[in-house]
Amino acid sequence: MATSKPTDSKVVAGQTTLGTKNKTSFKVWWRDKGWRHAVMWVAMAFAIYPVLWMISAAFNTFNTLGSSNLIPTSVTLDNFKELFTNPLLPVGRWLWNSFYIAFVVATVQVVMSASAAFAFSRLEWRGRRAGLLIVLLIQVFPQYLAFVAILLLVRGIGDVFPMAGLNTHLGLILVYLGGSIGINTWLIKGFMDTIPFSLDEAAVVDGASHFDIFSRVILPLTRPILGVVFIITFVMIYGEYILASVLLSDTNLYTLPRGLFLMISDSYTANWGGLAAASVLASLPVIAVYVPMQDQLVGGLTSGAVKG
Amino acid sequence: MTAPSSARSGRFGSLGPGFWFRFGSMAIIDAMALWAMYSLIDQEQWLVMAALAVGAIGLNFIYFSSKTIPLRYIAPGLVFLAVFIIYPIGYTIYLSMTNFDQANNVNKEQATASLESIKVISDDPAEFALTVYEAPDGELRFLLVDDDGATCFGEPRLKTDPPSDTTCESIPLDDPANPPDEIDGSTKLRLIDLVAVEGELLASAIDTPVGEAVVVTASTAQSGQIQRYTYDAARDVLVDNIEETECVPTDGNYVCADGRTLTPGWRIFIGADNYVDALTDQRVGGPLLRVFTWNVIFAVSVVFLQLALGLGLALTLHNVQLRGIKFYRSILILPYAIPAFISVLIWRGLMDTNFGPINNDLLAWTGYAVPWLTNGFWAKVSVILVTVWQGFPYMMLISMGALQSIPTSLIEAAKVDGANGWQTFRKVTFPMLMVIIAPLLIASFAFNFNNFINIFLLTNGGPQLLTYDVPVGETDLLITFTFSLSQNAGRFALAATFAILIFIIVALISAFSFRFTKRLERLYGNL
Repeated sequence: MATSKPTDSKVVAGQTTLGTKNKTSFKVWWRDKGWRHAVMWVAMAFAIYPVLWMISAAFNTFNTLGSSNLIPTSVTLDNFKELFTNPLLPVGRWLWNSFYIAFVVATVQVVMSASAAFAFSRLEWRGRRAGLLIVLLIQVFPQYLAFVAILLLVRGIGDVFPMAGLNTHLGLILVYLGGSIGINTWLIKGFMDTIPFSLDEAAVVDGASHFDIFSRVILPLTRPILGVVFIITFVMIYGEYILASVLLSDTNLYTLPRGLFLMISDSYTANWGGLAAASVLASLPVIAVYVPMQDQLVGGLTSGAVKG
Repeated sequence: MTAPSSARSGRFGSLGPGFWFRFGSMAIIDAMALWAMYSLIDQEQWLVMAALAVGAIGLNFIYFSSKTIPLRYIAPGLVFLAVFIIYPIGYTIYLSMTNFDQANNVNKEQATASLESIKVISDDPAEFALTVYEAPDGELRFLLVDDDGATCFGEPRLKTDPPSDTTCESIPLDDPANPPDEIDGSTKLRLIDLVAVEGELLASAIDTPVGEAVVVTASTAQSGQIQRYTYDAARDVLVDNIEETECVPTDGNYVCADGRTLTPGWRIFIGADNYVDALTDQRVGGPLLRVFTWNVIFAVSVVFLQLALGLGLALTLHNVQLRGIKFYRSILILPYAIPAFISVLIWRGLMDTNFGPINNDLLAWTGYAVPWLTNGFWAKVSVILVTVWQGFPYMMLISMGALQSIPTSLIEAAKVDGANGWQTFRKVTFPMLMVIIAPLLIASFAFNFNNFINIFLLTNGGPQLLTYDVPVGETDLLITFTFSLSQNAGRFALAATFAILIFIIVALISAFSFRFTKRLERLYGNL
């Protein structure tokens, strides 16, 4: 962001500050930079207010809405402890469910999309263009729109393989695996296209097979976009609500979005302290990845959107 | 059998570890496919079975022929795409053309059988006093005594079981009004014992020489049940034995001569009726127009406000060296970095009308409270506010990137031509910016058009509107409306219809986006 090019106003500012009184220099500073700081602080207040409240409510002794202030009067870890001890609201389990489901889906998606992208980007075959067009068209359809059909489909699968039927994590994972394969393949293919073909040719001369080229030449070079695709898919699955709530009915099998909603949906028994504590735990890992990687993630999304 | 990993090429490709990995994986997949086909035959699902067989043979060909190497790379993704996207799309289209809902989700045979199982008490039921005994083997025995003192002693069965041939038998009793403590080695249960078996009792019936008698309370039983409906297969009508009318299958339900429509019905194909209903029927289509209008307003204002705020902040930081810029960015990214389902629930707490911290503070400072989520207008403001909060950092980041990529020579040329700051922004910077971020804005519009999480978790579509035939609220988007149609109202086919309509809209937006981008690129050049 920081550009080396000084703007006009900056030059003017530099000139005026020379040999004028402090009062004017504050005015100039304000006109040049001060107001920008002020705008940033206002924007930050807007951005951070709910976050601060979430943190404060998580450590507050009382877990009702009315008793929670921005600055907690007394600090406790009880809200966190309860997440792992209350059998009626097994938040710890929901966290784990969401985590491992999102992890498995993102991992397998990356492998499948990368290999499909390899075929589209590097190999010559009949139907390649038609295949690309289909991928492009399909990714327009949001999978969750078909939730009624998917419910019936998974019920049917359960008649044959009960372990992947309704109310199982495996069933949900399989459904998710079909979900964003189109867009992911498209994203990775776009990146692979920028890798020079001379590398493949050199590898072929060295006697490499198609699988060697894929696994030893192309994949290592695509690692940046694979990381982005993994994170985007992970976060998407982590927060998916519709399919999870349609396919899972047992409280112990819930994923976080469904479970947290259960925690506060009844206003009489709403447990806001617990929700806040769970929110802190559930958002920390995502924030920890997003903040340092913001440029890559936005870049990844951007190139996908531009091409899609 | 071990094969050297190098040569040994044949028509199956080299027999290295790669081959054995494929061989092992396909063996497992084939075994699963065979098992699935076997049970599909059992369920008489011929079409699905045939599709599965074709798919399995295709996969085997792809992984063992040496001419299909590219397909080996796309096959796994393709399988999931076909099963969990393409098939559900087709099935959704099919469902949208049926009458599938809560009361019509079985086939005709099942619906008929269900209606035939309905039993009613005839006009002249026989009442029995019931006494319960326990046989030495722990099973229950019933003693029935009618008003005339006639007795019947025997083994009960479940109400749901079919009638058995063995009925209870008459036994001589000294005083039928006061049954003895023991009959045939079975001991009478005390009242206190009945409590433990009451559930079992109420589910029981016993066959008497005059027909079935069902347990009504722990101490009474009743006979004289008759079957309400009988199906006449020859004429394909359902005869109502009580009203003495006939019910004819009509559009997926039996409709009786006296005008009653019986449920459950069964699933039938009804073509475009749902679409016609959705677009014309006031009770269903009325909310559709209303929801659609709000849906567009929501998506447009969210994208506009996110961009205005994000771009404003990006311009504030553009071309200037500020201390703490990294810190600002790290804080401002937070709303975007926190998963949406979490931040929305937090906002829901903050905005609670009665106890929420925002209203607490407002009350303390101004004496007024805002009905954030409970009033139609304010609920709309709230969902827009929260969605803008979530998305403005993203707009800020992409605007900052886009501003950087605009060639400075253009800006300088404008200045040389005498344009002032605002003119330069309006005539040069902004149009150039739009070329870069327009596709992103359209993508963002498409995303927010279906922003299920924000609406569902913040207001659940509410506050509810009560004037329609279907559940719908002030802040419902098409997608949340569709969801509650199926979850709360059981109108599955109608939900499928709305899903297809939403898809058409989303597809149109994408097509428009594509053409718009092309047009912008022609106008301003591909950056």
